[in-house]
Amino acid sequence: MKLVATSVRGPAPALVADRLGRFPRITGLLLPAIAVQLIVGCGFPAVTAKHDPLYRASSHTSTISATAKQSEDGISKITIHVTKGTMTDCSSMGGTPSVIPCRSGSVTFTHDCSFPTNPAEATCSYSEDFGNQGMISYHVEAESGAGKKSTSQEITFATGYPPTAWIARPIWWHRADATGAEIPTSEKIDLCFVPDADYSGLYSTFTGDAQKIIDGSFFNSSQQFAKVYTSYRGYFNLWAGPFGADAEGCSRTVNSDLALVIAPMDGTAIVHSNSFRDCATITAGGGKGSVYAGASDSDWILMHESGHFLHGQGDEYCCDGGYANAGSCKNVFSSESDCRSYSSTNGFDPDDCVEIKNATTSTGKWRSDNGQLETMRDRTDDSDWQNMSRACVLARFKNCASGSCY
Amino acid sequence: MKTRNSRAVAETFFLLVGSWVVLVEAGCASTSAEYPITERTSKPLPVSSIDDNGPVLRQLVPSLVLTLHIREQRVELTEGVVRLTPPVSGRRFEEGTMRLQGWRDGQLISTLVVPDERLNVQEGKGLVVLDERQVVAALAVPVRLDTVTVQLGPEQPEQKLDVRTIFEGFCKEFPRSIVCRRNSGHEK
Repeated sequence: MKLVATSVRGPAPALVADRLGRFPRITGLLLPAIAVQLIVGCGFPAVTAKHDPLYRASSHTSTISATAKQSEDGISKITIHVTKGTMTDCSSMGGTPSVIPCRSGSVTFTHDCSFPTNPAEATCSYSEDFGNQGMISYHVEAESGAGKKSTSQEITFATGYPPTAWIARPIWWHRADATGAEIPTSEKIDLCFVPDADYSGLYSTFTGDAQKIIDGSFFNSSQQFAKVYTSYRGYFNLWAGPFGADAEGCSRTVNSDLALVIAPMDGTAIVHSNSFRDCATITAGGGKGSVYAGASDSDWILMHESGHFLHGQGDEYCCDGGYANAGSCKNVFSSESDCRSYSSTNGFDPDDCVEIKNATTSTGKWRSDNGQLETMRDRTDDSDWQNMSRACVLARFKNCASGSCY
Repeated sequence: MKTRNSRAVAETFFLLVGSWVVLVEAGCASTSAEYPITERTSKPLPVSSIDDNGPVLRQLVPSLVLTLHIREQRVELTEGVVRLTPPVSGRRFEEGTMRLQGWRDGQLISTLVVPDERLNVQEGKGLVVLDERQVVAALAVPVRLDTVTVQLGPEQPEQKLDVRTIFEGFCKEFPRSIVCRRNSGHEK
C-alpha cells in the first residue's frame, strides 16, 4: 500500500451505476444484496443478519441479530433458526479426519420475535454462551404485515477453542443453504485469517484484530473502499486458522498444523502486530498476503493486499510498486500499446491509459485511469476498485455465480 | 438476561402441557426498540448427524496435504498428511504455477496445479522474487499413492517425491479411511 498525495477527484461512482454504465459484461451478475439478503421490493422484507463476536477462541456469549425492513406493510415477525452442536474433525463419520469441521450432538430451535404494530424496521436478537468447540448455524426468516416472507442465507460460525489446532474455524461460512442443501465450495472464495508469530500466543488479541479487519472490509457500507466486498460478501467464506505462521516482509513460513488449514483455501491473510511493509503473492487465488493490524486502516490494507493475492492485480501507484499480474485479467502493462490493446478488446477506453509516473520518475508501466481513486493505487478510505481492477474483481464474483470462483 | 428467562419459562411450560411448541411470552419485553415485541424460543430438537453433516461431507475429498520447501529449482518434501479437504479448483499450468501429480504403480491418479508463490509484491519495494520459499498444497488422493511428481513451471523437469511412508503411517492410524480400504482391496 502507498499513500499517494493526489487530490480527491470527486466521489467514485456508485456500484450499480458503474456496472450498468461501464461494464456491460458484468450486468448479469447478481445484485449486491447477495450479502445477507435477499428479496427487496415487491412487498418482500429485506433481511440482514450477523453474529457478534464473529469468532473468539474462548468461552463467550454470542449474539445473533437480525434486522428486517419493509416500508409498506411493515414487519410482523422475525424468526431466527439456530442449529448448534459440537465441532469435530469428522473422523467419527468415516475414518479420515477433516480440516473442514463437522458437527455432533446437534439440536435445532427457533427464536421468534413478533411485532404486533408492524414497524417498518424491526430487530430480533438471540444470545447464548455456546461454549467451547461450538459450531452454530443460523438463518433468518422475516414476514411482512401482508404475509410476504424472505429468508436469509445460512451462516455458520465457531465458538470457543476448537477440538484440535489443525481444524479450520469458521467465522462466516456458507455451509448449506436455508433448506440444508449443500453449497459447492467452488462457488465461494475461502479466505483464511491467521495470526503471525508476533502475537506471541495472544490469540484473543488476534481475533480482536481480525474482527476489526473483517468488520471494516465485509460489513462496511459506509466507506467506499469496502463497498464491493460488503455487497458481495455472500461469495466469501471467512475462516480463522491456528498459530503457525511466521511472516516478516515477503519471507513467510507455516507450521504443519496451519499448513493443513490453509492448503485448500483460496487465500490466506497473515495478520501481524509488528510493523513491516506488507507483502503478498501475485496470484489469482491460492496465495498469501500479510496485513498489518496495527495500522488504523488495516481493513483497507486487506482490501489492497487481497487485490494481489486473490485477484492477481498489480500495484498502480508510483514508483516503487509491484507491477505484475497473474491470471487472465490485467491492470498494469509494460507499454502503452499493450494497455490500449487490452482496453480495446475488453471494453475500456484506450484513452484512459496513462503511464505510472510522478514528476521525477517514470516506471515505464501503464494503467487505466478513469479519474477516480483506485484501491490498487490510492491509500484512502475513499478509494475503490476502478476500471480494470474493478472488472477483474467483479468477474471473480461472476465466476463464483457460475459455479467456480477460480 | 431476557433470553435466559424466556428459555427457562419455556421449558417449564413445555413440561406442563407436553407440547412440542413452546411459547414463552416475554410480553412487551424490556427492549431498547420503540415498538412492542413478543419473543419466544422453541424447545431444541435433535438433528440427525448424517443430515446435519451430509452437505459438508459430500463435498470433501481425501487429500494429501504437502508442505514443500523450494530452493531455486529444487523441491523438498517437508511434510505430508492425509486429511479430508474441499477439492482445490483446477488451474491452467502456466508460468507462475506448479504442477503436482500423484502416482500409484506408474498410473496417474490425480493432478493439481497451484501458484508457485515465487512472484511477490512488497509495498514500497516492488516485485520480490522468492527463490527460496514454502508452498503447501492439497492433492486429492482417492487411493494410496507411492509417488508425487512436482514440476516448477511447464518448462521445468519433473521431480519425484516418495510418499509411501506417509500413507503407511496414515493407514496405521486411520485404517477405516476409504483411502486405506481401497488400498487393501476391500473396495473398488
